[in-house]
Parts: sequence; structure tokens; C-alpha cells
Amino acid sequence: MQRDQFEQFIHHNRDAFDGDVPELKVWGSIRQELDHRKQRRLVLWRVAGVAATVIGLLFCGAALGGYFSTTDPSAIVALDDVGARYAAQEAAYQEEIQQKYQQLASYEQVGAVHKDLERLDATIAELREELKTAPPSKAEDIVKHLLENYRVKVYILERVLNRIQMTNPDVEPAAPKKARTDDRII
Amino acid sequence: MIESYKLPARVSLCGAFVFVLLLTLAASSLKAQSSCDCETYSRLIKKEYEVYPTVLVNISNKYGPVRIEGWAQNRIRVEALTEVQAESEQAAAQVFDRIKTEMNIQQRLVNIQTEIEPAKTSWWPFPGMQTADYSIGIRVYLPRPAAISLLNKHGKVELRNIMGNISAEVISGDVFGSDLEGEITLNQKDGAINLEQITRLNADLVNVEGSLTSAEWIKVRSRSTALRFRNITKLESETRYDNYFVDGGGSFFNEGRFDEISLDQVREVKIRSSLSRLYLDKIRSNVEVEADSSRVRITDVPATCRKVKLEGRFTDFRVVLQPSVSFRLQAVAHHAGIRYPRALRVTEEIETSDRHTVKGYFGQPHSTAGLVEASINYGGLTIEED
Repeated sequence: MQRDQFEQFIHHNRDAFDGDVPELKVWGSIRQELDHRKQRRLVLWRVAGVAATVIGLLFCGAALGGYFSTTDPSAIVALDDVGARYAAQEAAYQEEIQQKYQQLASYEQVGAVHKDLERLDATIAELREELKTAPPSKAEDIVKHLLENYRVKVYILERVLNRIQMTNPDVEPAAPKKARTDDRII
Repeated sequence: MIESYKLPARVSLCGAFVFVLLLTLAASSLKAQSSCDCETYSRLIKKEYEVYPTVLVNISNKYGPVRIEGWAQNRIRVEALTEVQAESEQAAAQVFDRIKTEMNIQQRLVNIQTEIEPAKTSWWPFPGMQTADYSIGIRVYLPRPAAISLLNKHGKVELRNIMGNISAEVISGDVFGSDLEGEITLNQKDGAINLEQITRLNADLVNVEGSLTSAEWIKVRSRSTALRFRNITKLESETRYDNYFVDGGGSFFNEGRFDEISLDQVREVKIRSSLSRLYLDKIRSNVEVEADSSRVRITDVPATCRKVKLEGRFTDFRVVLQPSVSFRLQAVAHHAGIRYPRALRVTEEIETSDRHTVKGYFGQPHSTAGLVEASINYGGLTIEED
């Protein structure tokens, strides 16, 4: 019963109670406090994100660096990977071979060497395959043998050209033809 | 209050790219620096058993030398030495695990085989485990009459003091041998060769350089090869783009193209060649040359030489006789000229527009004197006296 009287008292004097409102300053402080907590949480998340990104980039960079600089011969497919010096020599040989082959083709004498050059190409392909599994110290030997096989191709073409030119000094080479795809040798 | 900055997306992307690039370079240099701070670890497997003297020994190896030596015991001893260069014992152990040298030894048959498992690719990009280097060397002592079948890739082969037959395939490796009494069948690509005191050799050689000394019979098929032969009783060859130097010996038979062949003091020569250069000096007994589009020089022909037979097409022949030797000449040239010295006593000479025939003799006109017989189409023949 006593409680009902108290409730009735509050009900009747509500307007008087609602007259006192907290100042705006109080509300401002509360809001600032809440904003501060939110900012701190946001900064923590951002720092964690940056750290994760740095770790991710570090791993990617290291992985790429490891991949490109690998000395494992299993990754060696082209001569370029073994060394620029060898690659340059290979390119020079390729060019010379191409040039002499075209010259020989102009004498219509390609048939004389075609099979032998094909055999050398097969050997070069075998050596290239071997490079993928050879231990590092042997890889360099294999590259030397590869280059040696290119040198032999040049030597064969030079000798045949030389003999043909010596034997028939008056024979002019046929007019240069447009190279066909199967005229190319690698 | 903390302010938050927002970078434009493009700037962040560029920054990340530069960062990755720098790290890539750093990792590369790190790896390059650490590529060989290696030590050598080795594993030696030794086995020795009693076998029949005529045991057949099969050997297959890769990336290392093979040495086989005959001894005066009916036992075989096999030593397989694997050497690994690695940065740590753990890394070396991983390589040893990949390399297996199988040895199956029975009294009549021995198999020695090197098997190399491919390297496991590691997800770990940092150096250390992948840079190991290795070689596998095999050394065998066996009874002298034992027969050998051998395959070796990327390693040299040494054979000493063996009586049995040897069949060998050597790819990218040198071959050295001495005192080999059985028949050798050799297939060699890219390497050097040096064989001494052998009996019989049947060889296929591609891009090989070296010498063969003192043999009874050699048959060679070769391409772009440079060989020096000394004292070979019978040498048969099928050649292309080769350089041969033959000192002494019995007979030399050749069929080839684009070669350069020099023979000195060989007893008997028979060559069929085209687009080649042939230099024959002091041939002791017989010369028979059939040449097309070639250059042939036969010099210092001695009195012991019984016959020089030349057949040519578009070929320039030059024959120089030793002074004061007796020789007969019978030469026919179609669309070609025959030149001879004043010392030739001409018995018959007919010259038409396309044919030139010369018969005569040097020295005394006896029928036992040596004979130079030539038949030429185009090209030319020059006979000289030294």
C-alpha cells in the first residue's frame, strides 16, 4: 500500500522532476569519451592490417627473389638461366648458323648436311633436357657441351660451304629465296 | 582526437610494388651470397666377392667417373664413392637419400647401377636446402677375362688391363684406355679419346678428339671428329667432316665426305671420297683413290709402292715420285689435262678435243716397276719427280 502511494506521488509530480536536465557539457564529455574508445579500436585494427600486409609482402618478395635467383638446376630450362655469357654465345651461334644455312641453301646443297645437323639438334635437345636434373657443377659442363654442339654445326656448315666454293668457284649461288619455315634450323 | 589519413589507392599500390621489388632484390642477393658456403660430405660403398673369371659386369652411371681395372684375381671389388657438397649435414643427407648405387653381385653376372631420384621441389624459397652439388664415382677391379657392358653419362671412363670384350656408351665424357685385349664396341659423343695397346675397336664417334695407338683392327664411323692414329694394322673408316692423321700402320680404308685426311707411311690405302682433301705421303705399297670434287696430293711415292690407281671427277690430282724410281704411267683424261715432267719417256700420247691419253715410264722400262694408273673426268692430273 505504501508503495502505491509513492508511485502515485511520482506520477503526480513528474513535471517537477523533469525540470532538471543535465548540461550540454556533460553530454559532450560522454560523447567524446565514446568517440575516443571507438578511435582506439580503429587504430588497433589499422595497425594489425598494416602489419599483416607487411608480412605478406615480405613473404611474396622473398619468395619471388628466391624463385628468380634459384641456383637449383631443376629450374634451368634455357641457357639464359645459366648465365648471360653463355646465352650471348648461344645467340651468336644461332645467328651464324642461320646465316650459313641460308647461304648453303642458296647453293642448293642443304641436303648434304641436313641429317647431320638434325642429329646435332637432337643432341642439343637431349642436353637441354639433362640440364633440368643435373647437379650444379655438371650443369656448367653440359652448357659447354651445348655450345660445343653449336660450334660443330657452324664448323660443318663452314666446311661444306668452303668445299663447294673451292670446287666450283664459278658457280654463283642461286638467287636468295624467301626462307621457308622448314629452312630454319635451331 | 586522432586523425586518420587515407592514401589514394594508386599510391598504395605503387608503394607495395616498390616494396616487393626491393625485397625481391634483397632476397636474390642474400641467396647469391649464400649459394656456396659448402662442405664436402662423402659416402663410400665397398663390396668384394669371388666371381668366375669370365663374369659379365654391367655398369650404368651418371655424373661421375668410372674406372675399371683388371687384376690377377678371381674376385671383383666395387667401390662407389658419392660426394656431396652441401651447406649442412642435413642437406647432404637429403641428397644421399636420392642417390642409390645398386650392386647386385653374382658369380657370373654383376650389375652396378646408379639411380638418382629427382630433387623434391621445396615450397621454402630461402637458400640452404637446394644448392647441394654431387658426383658419383665408380671404381671396379675385376678378373682380366671379364666382359664389360658400360654406360656413363657426363663423366669420364678409364679402362685398364682387360682381356674380355667391352661394350661402352659414353655421352659427354672422355675415354681413356690401355692394354685392352678383347673387342671394344664404343659409342661416344662429345669428348676426348685416348686408347693405347688395344686389339679390336668398333666405334661410333660424334664430335670426339684424340688418339688411337697400336691396334690390330679399328672400324670407325665418325662425324666432326679429329683423330690421330698410330700403328694400326687395319683401319676402316666411314667419315664426314673429319680430320684424320694416320702415322704408319698397315691398311687404311675410307669412305667419306668433307674430310681432311693425312696419311704418312701407311702400307696400303683405299679411299673413296668426295669434297675432301687427301694428303698421302710415302705410301709403301698400294694406293687406290676414287675422288669426287676433291684435292688429292700423293707425295714422296717410294720405289716399294707397286700401284697408284686414281679415279676422279672434278678432282685435282698431284703425284710426286721419289727421285730415280722406276714407274710406268697409264693415264686417260676426259675434259681434263695431264701434265708430266721431261723425265717421263712417253711411249704413247693421244690428244683430242675432249680426251688426253698418255703412256710412258720413268727410270728403267721393266715390267716389275710400279704403275701409276689414272682415269679422270674433268679436274686434272700432274705427275712430278722430286
